[in-house]
Amino acid sequence: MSNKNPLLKKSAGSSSKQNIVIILAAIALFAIFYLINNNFASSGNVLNMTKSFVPYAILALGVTFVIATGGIDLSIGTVCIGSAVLAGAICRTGVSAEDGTLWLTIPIILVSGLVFGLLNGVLVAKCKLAPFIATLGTMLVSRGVTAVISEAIRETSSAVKYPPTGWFQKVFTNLNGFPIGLVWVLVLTIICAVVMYKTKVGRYILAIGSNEEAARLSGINVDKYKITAYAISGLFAGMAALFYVAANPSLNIASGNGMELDAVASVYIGGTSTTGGSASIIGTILGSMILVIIRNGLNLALSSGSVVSATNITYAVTGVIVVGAVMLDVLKKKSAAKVKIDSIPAKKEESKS
Amino acid sequence: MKKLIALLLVLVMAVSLVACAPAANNDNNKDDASAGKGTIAVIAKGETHAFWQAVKAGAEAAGKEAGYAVTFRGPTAESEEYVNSQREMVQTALNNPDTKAIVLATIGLGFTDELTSAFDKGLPVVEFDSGLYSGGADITEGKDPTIGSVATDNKKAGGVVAENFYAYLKANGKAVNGFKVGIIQHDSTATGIDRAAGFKEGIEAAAKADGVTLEINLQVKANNAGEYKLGLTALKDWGAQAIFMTNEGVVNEVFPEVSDNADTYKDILFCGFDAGTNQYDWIKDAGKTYALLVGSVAQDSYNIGYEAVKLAISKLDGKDVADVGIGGQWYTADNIDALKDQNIFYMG
Repeated sequence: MSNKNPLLKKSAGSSSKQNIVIILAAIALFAIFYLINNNFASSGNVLNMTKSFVPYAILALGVTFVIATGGIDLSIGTVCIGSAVLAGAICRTGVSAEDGTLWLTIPIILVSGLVFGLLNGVLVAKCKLAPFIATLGTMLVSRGVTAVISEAIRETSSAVKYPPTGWFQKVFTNLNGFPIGLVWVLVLTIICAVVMYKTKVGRYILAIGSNEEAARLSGINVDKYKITAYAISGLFAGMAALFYVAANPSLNIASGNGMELDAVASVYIGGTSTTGGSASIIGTILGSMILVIIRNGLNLALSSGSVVSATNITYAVTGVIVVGAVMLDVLKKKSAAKVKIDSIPAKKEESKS
Repeated sequence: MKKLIALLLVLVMAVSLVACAPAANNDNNKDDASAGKGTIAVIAKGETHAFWQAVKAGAEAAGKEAGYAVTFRGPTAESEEYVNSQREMVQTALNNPDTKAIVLATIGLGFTDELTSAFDKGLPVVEFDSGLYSGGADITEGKDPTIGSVATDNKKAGGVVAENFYAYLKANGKAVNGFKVGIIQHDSTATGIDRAAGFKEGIEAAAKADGVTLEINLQVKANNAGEYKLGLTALKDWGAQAIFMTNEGVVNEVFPEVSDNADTYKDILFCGFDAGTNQYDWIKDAGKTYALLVGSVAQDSYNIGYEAVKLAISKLDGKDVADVGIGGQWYTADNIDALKDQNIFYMG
């Protein structure tokens, strides 16, 4: 998007302002949690936090593209776990690195994610289903289909196991104590930022989210780019599965429950517009970071046999933050509309003179 | 306006945290006061369930006797999906400088780094209940912090159900060729597999000794709402004449179905595992209003907690330690009240 337009410049400015707010909030939270419990910043805990952070951040990066079109993808959590369950069953993985064909799970997981993403795209773009309904359907279908296939293959329950130690962990989570997942997130963030802001695909996706009809009238193949957005989301759900499995090598089909909501919440906290048209890739990453800091920090703060459940407080705090972040978005839009209205009489006066 | 909202957001977060902080600090202080020698961190597969509450009572009693503080934590539910939150609990224990030993039962894989860290810090880990998931596949070679285990011998306990249940069948003239016995296994963890296998092998062997061949149908179900009920329906359709339920979760789903549709299930004989209000009510009904629950095996939850902490303390005292197997106790309508008084049967 060109920054010559003053309105866009303003919106870009407020997005970076929101990023600064999020960064400050993250630092404040980190400091508070550190003061409550010094162990919060220990290397073991930071490694643990990155294990939780990486899959959510990657899910959130993918779904940012869908939200930028003005849509939503509720299927990413189950697609992520379902793909991992499916691949584990097909490749017959087990706790030993020698069980099954571990390397083959990677292409299967990615292809499975991509296929479900394409399915969402086709349902939304070609069948004109509301994104909420289409992806809700895919959420249930992906869960059911992958579980049934793996049950049929394994002839028992759909729970699968991957090796808890070995090259999978070295590549995706812990390279001799170094949280290698962060490097992956950094690389994927850069790729997403380039695609979103510097390529035709990203610009068209944003244009569709901003005004679908206008985009269509200006010659953009809206269906194609919508499908692309959902495909990216599905592919990233598959990618997130690799990191999830490396950190949590035993999983059942229910493991993905609620993951999509955390990912979507991260995107909203990060400042991507709920109605589409503007997206912040950096914001999405910062949003995921905030959620992980809150979850882990509250857990440590309430660790010593407190009667209050950290999980339940996390829900409440996350809810407050998401509503607050979306409220910021609404206010941002209101003030942008105000600028537009204010600028009309000024223009008229200019034309008079 | 925007700045104000942002500021408010940060404030809300800060206030909610500060509100939580005193509770945590108070608890820390409370622990320190009683922790003469340090803390034994017990991380279980659950926390609120009556079974775990009894384990907790046993663990705390053992800690108190020896002058150690005991912290007890567990995830919301015994399912792989809560591995993340359980890992955070282990991390918390590892980070606490007062922790002298960890008593652990994991709900999934993904604890490799934490177990290595426990080894590096010299913290002994006692496995209890079902112990480390998948036989401790998480342990890095040469860095094994585990020193022993305390658990119900599930296969043996399944065998106890088989032995007593078969004796009932025999006494009532039901031990005949082709008698159909179904099993609803609660999941595919070692606990579920061992109980089902112990029961199956036990009842088959007992029948074989009498020259009788039974038909067995095993239904393995996951811990999701409604799954066990589906197992029951499948077994009913198959024509099951007796059904073994491998844990309390299965009983809790099967019992309402059996009592609501008394006529449908009236002729099936049931036997169970664990304890709980449903099993108490069911067994006390004695087949009057709905199908009969012949008997069940209770785990000695209190002693599992007690012995696990005691094992950790023995190791800290430099004594030699060995695995402890806790027996299961067969109960029927006749002895259930006596076991309740001994804390072996809990209501929950």
